[in-house]
Amino acid sequence: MNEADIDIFIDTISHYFQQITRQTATIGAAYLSTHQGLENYDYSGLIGIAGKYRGCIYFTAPRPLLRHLLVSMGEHNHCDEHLLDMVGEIANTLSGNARKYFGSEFIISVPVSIKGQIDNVRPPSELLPYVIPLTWNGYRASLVICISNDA
Amino acid sequence: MKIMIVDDSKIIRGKILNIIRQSVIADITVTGVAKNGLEAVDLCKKTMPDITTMDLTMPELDGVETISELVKINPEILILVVSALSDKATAIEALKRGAHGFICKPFTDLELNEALTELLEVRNCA
Repeated sequence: MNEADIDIFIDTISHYFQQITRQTATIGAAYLSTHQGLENYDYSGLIGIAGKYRGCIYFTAPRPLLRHLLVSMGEHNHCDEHLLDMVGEIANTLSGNARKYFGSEFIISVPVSIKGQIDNVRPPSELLPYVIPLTWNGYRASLVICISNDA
Repeated sequence: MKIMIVDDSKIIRGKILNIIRQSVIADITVTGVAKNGLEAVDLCKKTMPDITTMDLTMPELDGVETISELVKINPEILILVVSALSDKATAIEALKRGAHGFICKPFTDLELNEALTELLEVRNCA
């Protein structure tokens, strides 16, 4: 992953929030983290990456952010099922949109949505994850990217 | 005109349903919703929709394979892909299999309405 690759994900995040909510998300400076130091919020949507690339991407967000997004989508039932669906769909959309730049060999899995700590997810240990922090409507969330190019 | 909605996300199925219900497109009725390709094939056999929206990344049977199956059941079906997969190769493959249109997630109400209207114009011109 290089700076241009990270910029692609920043663009997809900005586009997503603008398109869905007509409100801009403020994107913070991306940073390289450690597996131990990764923060996660109330809900996370995880996508496995295969093909020419490998690893995983996940979007993690607090409950209030997801509730607001559900309202933006016309859904007023904020049960766990819907919150998990929402966070998985965001992860799917951000990863899928990145294929415009990475190509069809950037193969994405169906999303796995998790409530609470994502203790059981083990990204490749030799890869350090990049974290892209964002703030939308006063709520913080993160997109975490842990992928390598096998080409 | 009968329409089927296919997406593995309940939230997205609901959003599409709401847009269609509020749409100015005349005489369009939702015949059912499916959360994966297998359900879509089954529903298509039962209800024979004229149009379907189609997600691509789904469990059980993905959208590209599902398009091929639906076209076998009903060669006249109009298929609008609604997917986050925004690369050109995927769009071309979907169109080769028998899709008629493609819009990328995240989509607005206007984009979906316009895409459906264009699809119906294709039907009316045929």
